Amino acid sequence: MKIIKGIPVSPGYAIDQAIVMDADGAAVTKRFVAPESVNAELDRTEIAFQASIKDATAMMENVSIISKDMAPILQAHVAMLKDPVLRDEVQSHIIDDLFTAEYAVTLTMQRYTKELMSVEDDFFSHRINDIRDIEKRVLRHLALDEDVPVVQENGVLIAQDLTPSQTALLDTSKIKGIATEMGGRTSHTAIMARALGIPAVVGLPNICSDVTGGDRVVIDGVSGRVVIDPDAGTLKKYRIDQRSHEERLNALDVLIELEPETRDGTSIDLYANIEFPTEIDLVLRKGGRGIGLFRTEFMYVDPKENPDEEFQYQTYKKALGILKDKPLVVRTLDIGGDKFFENIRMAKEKNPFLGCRSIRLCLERLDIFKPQLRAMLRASVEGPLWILIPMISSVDELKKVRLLIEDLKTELTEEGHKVNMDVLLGIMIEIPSAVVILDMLIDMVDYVSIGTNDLVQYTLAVDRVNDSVADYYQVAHPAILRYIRQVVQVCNVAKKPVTLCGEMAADPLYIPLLLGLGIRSVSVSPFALLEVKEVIRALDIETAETIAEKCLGMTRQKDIHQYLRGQLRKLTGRNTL
Amino acid sequence: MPAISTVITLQNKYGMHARPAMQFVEVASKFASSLLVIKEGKEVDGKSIMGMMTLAAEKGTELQLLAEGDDAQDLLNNLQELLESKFGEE
Repeated sequence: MKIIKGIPVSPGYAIDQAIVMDADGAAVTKRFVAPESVNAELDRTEIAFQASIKDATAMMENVSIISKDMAPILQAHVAMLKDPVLRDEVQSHIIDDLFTAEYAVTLTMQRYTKELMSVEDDFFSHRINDIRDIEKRVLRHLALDEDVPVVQENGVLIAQDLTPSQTALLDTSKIKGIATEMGGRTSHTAIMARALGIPAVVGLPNICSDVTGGDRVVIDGVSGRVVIDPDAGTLKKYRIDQRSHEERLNALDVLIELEPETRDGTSIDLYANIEFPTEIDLVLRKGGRGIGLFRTEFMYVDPKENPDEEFQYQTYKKALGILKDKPLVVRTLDIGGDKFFENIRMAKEKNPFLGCRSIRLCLERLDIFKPQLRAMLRASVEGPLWILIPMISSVDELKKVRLLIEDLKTELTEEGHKVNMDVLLGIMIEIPSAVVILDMLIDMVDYVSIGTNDLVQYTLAVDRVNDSVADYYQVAHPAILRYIRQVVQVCNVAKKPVTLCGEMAADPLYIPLLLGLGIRSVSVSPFALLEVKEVIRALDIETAETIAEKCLGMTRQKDIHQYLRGQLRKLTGRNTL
Repeated sequence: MPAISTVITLQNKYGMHARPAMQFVEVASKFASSLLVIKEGKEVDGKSIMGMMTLAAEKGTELQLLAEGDDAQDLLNNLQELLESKFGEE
């Protein structure tokens, strides 16, 4: 049994056979053949090897036309394919272990790979590529064998990386989980797994060599672990976890059709935060009311295409099409220059979070900001697109943005484009000054969105990615609670809607508190939609307000948490996430 | 038939990398006798390219060649020639 830790990007548990996918998309699954099929299997293998030798030899003869450097490499390949010891090993696996040709070939190649990997000399370890190449060649010939059907079974997909083009060809109904070597929380793998509702773990270096097709594998998408060949105890534990998780999801799915309203009939707007348009389907499946935060950074950080005006317009238009009449709140570019794919950084900043980022960068670089705004304005006639400006800290800044938008509306109209002249404009409340002077800003906007992630950071002066001060980052700090209440009060007086779109809203623990503070609209991760709805439906506003009052009187987050945990247990019989 | 043994030292610059390994195996495969190549206690089949590569023998390495069969002496002579010519590399 081997346990590897990676990054969990999609929750849930899968226990299944591994389907190891190489860079070309070839997959090895089935492990065993029946004893009576051994001879047929040996024949297949021989045919595949001969065909591979023929290919490589033919290529070698043509190679003088292609490249002289290729010749020795191909020669090496032919030599490897002819190697009697290698062939012997593959055949032994088939005869003695009753393995399929594919599995026998893969196992043998993997063994040689491991041996070469332990050799220190670079030159020899480069031969690993050669082994991979001939493995692919032989497997491809085995797959082309008409007599043996290519079995597509259920399993867990193990791959180096999953690009959109690779996943396009997969039968996703058979995939029960995913583990990849590359990727992070926002990679395509993560998005796809979440959209499919299957567990996924990424960031597992060498997993493709550690796992062999057919191995039993556990994907723990909750803690981010992959277990290869689990022992009895581990297997039992995960079977239990899997069952509990499924029961929970089924219980929650019942909520999809139900209204997000409190017991006394107060309606709460439940939106979702997304990073990519492909997540919209998941949001709709889970009953989201719309997109409360569409992060647009994906277009600027490591993009597949240049995010020019036309591309952005098409992106927003497509998203609106999927949403039909549900709102799409699009947040303008919210990163620092160093994250850009073109690296448009000016000078290196000592305090990037306090520096030229987000709206400040956009106002500096109209060559980047204008195309985004123009695209949003053009798309505004295709559906309810709302513009959201992040990191506003002063009246001046907001005035500049409004003026720019008005200018662009005129510009576009003169060019013959259709624009929604009344497109809704909102700001994110994440900088303390915006909270304090909200009364000065509120008449210039149609709505506001409280971004608690950054609001906590700026209010408590804590870098949220700095582990050494992790304890100082307190979402339920008295100052934050007072700020939230203050924002709600100003908005209520001005009769403008306010949404809370930070991670705070995704934690059921805080829902009673937030509703009690006057929040009637939240935007959360698509995964949290149903759990949040569950708490909403268990609440009544009076109880929520009592809870909020109690919390506002407390001085420490610790006490607030303890209190809220007790309250949540009373409401749902459950603890926090 | 008893096995014949000889010891050789690799003289060529990059040792037993892909090209020399292929030549070695090609020559060895021409003969019926079996061939074992031993480096610091590790034994591989001298007719297996995979085996020879995993041997990772660099310049200056001493290899013991153990051939068994009717043409064992011929086999070893041919290999010795190959090595002395530094695999035609210089």
